[in-house]
Amino acid sequence: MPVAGIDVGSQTTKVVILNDGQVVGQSVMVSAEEAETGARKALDEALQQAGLALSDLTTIVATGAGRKDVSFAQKQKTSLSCLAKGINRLLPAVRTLIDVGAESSTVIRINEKGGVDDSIGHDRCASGTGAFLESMAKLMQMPLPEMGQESLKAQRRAEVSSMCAIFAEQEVISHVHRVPPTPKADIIAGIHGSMAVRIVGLAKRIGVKPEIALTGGVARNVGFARVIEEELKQKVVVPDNPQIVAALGAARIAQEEGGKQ
Amino acid sequence: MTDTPKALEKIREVNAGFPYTDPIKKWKERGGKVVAWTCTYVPEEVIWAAGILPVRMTGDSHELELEDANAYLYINTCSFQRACLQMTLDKQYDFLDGYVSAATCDGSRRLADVWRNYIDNIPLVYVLTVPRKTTERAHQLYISEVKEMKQKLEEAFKVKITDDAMRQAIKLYNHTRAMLKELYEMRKKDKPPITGAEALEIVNAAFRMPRDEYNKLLEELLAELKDSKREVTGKVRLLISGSPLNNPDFIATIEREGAIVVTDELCMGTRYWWDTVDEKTYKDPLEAISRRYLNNFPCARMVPCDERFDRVLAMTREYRVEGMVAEIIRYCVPYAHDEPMLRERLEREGISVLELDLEYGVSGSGQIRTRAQAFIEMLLDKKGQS
Amino acid sequence: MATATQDLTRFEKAVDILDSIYRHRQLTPTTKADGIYYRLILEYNRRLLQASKEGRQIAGYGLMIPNELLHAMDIVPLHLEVGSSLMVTVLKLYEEVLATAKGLGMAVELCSAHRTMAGVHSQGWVPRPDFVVWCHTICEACTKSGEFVRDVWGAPGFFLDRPFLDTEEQLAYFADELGEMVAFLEKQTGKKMDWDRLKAVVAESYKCYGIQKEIQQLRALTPSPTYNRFVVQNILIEWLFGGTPQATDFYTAVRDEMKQMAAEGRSPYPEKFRVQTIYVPPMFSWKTMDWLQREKGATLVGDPMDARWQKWDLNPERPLLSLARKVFAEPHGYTMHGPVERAVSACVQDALDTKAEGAVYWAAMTCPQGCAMIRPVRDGLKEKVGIPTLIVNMDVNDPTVVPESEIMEKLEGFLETLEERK
Repeated sequence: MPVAGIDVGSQTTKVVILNDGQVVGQSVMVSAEEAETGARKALDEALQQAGLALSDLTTIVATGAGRKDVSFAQKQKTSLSCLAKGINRLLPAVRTLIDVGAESSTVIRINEKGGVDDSIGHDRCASGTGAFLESMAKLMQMPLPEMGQESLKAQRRAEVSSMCAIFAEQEVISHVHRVPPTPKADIIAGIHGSMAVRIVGLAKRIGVKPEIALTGGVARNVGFARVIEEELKQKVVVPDNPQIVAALGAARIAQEEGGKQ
Repeated sequence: MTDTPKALEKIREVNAGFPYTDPIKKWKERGGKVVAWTCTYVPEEVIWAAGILPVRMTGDSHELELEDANAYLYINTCSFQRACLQMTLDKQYDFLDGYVSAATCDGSRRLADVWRNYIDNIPLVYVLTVPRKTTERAHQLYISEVKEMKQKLEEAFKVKITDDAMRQAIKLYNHTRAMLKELYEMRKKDKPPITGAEALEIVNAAFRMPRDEYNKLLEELLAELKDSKREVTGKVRLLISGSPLNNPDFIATIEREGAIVVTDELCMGTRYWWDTVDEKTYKDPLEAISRRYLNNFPCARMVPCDERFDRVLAMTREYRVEGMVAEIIRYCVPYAHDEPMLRERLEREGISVLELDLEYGVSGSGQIRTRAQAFIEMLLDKKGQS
Repeated sequence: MATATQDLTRFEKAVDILDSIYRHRQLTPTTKADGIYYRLILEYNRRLLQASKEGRQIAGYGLMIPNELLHAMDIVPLHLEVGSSLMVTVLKLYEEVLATAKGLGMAVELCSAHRTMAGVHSQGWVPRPDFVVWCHTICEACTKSGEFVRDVWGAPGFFLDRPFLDTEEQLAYFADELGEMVAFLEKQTGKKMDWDRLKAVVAESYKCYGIQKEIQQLRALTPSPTYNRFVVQNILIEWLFGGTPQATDFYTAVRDEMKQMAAEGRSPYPEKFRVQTIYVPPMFSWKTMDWLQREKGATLVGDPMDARWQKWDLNPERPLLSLARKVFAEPHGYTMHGPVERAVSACVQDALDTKAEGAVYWAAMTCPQGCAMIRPVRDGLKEKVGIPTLIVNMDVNDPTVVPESEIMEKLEGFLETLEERK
């Protein structure tokens, strides 16, 4: 019984297709202006991979910020439930999930069944999100994907405020223009550090239980994952494809829904 | 400016050990008990008279990461209270045997909430009720509340707080107040012998050591200053007012830009020592103590605000203040709310105000430096024109 | 600062809008209680406008000042916090008013409701209060903003000092403070308090308290015969009219409707979730409350900090002492001012009584004292009741701080969690 989960994020749209519980197709695409068009495109790509047609799908569940615009989905679920379900399938031992996406960061406490025990989102501040990292990359004149590797060369973390994105930006500028300038790697490590302090602070408010996983687009940044570990003083697992966790969770929910019908 | 007075060096040695300073350590090693207080509306004399060392709980003298504290007090309690909690959670206040808080402001009572519910192994956590008025009826209530606090201390530590011990404590603490007054009098000079940053260091030490030892240091310091030719110069004379402030570097940052801070309206400064306990009028020493604490130089929590404003205005005249720096910790509601009204009254008297909204513990950040520079330049321009 | 000059153009406009809302409601009636609510809000503001035109005295009074004293002396009341917020909400003036407050030097971290009030009063956009009485039962900002209002109008004021606890000593002090307040009102109005009338007013208020307790019990039924809107209406009615016959009218209608539904064993909309709401919800978005109930089947069955009354001991012969006790029994007065254990026990007990499956804590970002209760309340609900608490960051008045859509998104995720738990 093939089913699909679609995660329409503010920057990327992700699709996972499950057939009898196995992943048979997946895709990640830049979100289109119209959520529905983008979702359709991403779904087509994943269907092609799976060698299936739209009509083969029994259930489609949409999640993410743009989920309500996906009219061909039978059900909409918030990312919260989908992230929990998704990580529970990939890494069943995970009890704390830290998801850092383009415009949000969320910490979720998960029980054995993949249900949400508790959760907390970022507090109206850009400094703990992918968008912040992107603007910092622009400031550093470095392609975003290279930031992680570069930061691993750091000798120390340059001081960057974790209090507020605006302060952080000012500090990064002053590091760049300092004579002699602070080493690039140190500044980036500092940027990652400032984000990590903020997100780990969020996690502490609901309590952190091992094992811990890091997901979302920003999880692909190895340097960021490392500072999260340093701040938590605990090991953090990053799944192979950290972006598709919510889509996978949506597909799992689609599967369960199908079972009910 | 010539050499640092020897007594000031000794004071610095005490402060260097904060929060568990050497004198506190020695006190504990002798088997003594230590009880913390945070708010100046908690009468220290009563604690001292119990044979217990009262110390003031503060945050550190620099900005801390407050993530652990945020898990309890959320992110919008003033950072002074959160810094106190952060240090507690970091186990830096583990040497305490008790904590006497006061329901003086929301932050203060909420910190006590966390202490009661989440901090283990402490024999006494007590919250003192303090009226917001100074009417005779309010005094009566406050006296009875202080009596209850005394009783709680006696029960928790199995001691008797005698009237005699309280009278002794009054003398001891009044002596401190008289000496700090003398020290501040020297700051009225054109070229005071100490900087504003140093004054803050000196008052800080009062919170961190037994009072008799502190008084000795103050005596030494005053003697030294009287004999020395030490002179501090500054182009403009400033007053610092506002929320709790323990960080001398913050004042030093402003002074490095060419100003001299000659007095303050801080609970870590004048509002700590300004008024003395009346040793003559009242038969009951506890009443004498209580009346002083409620009548003392008011915090912005008190109503009406006019008394505090009048006292600040009087102080600006006494110390020939040219500008006021309002140091307002974010979410310090009483000070933030009063600031526009106080500013208006000061400006009417020709005194300019620089408001700095910041986090507790910050020091010489670039932004503060830039704003202080601009403020001082503006004051100098004003002088040139007048 | 004495800067305010009265300019009632906006206030008049707000009254017009309230009037058309009321008329619209009459044409498309929902419930009797709903109708009474809109009528009372309109009449309150009309009375102010009328008094201002006739040159009658107006008393500015802050949160948690017992309405009974003003009512017993027939003084026209202008609620400082609610009056300003209501007008700003009706006219959508947040940005302008908050910018004005900023211009006055009000730090942006200060309570947005009190900044709203400072902005409105400093501009003279409400009828000029001839004198001001205020209290600090809820928070620090109440203490200070009352002073600010007194200062901008250059009006005489009385601050009612509420002690931290309700020990006998402290209650006696509070009762004396209430006596001082009466003396102040007498001096300002030149009228004497009619103590027999006050006794009658307090007795009436006690009757209303009984009805409010009944409502509390009715809400706990399964399914709960309650409208989610009651949460917001209750807050406004209690603050503007608590202790007056108008409040009795409103609560009586609410209770009767609930009884009716209870007799039929139904709730206004099919009930899927039973949710506790903690602290003041976003007043700019009643829509969210309605949506929760109508679209999502989530009934707000308990409201421990806004509607859960503690026991109030009336002493008919001692009206001031009785009023002092009332302030400590009133939901806000009980949970917000004293030690946090009271708020925790109110939430826990309420969750047990109402069989709530989860709680939503409205974390107003400029309300430090309210947010500082989150941890212990959340822990209490988790450990003693076994239910999760959702924390929603937001602003009570200003929709730009956290938009409605984001609030709804969070609630939706939380309801999925609750569904999962079933």
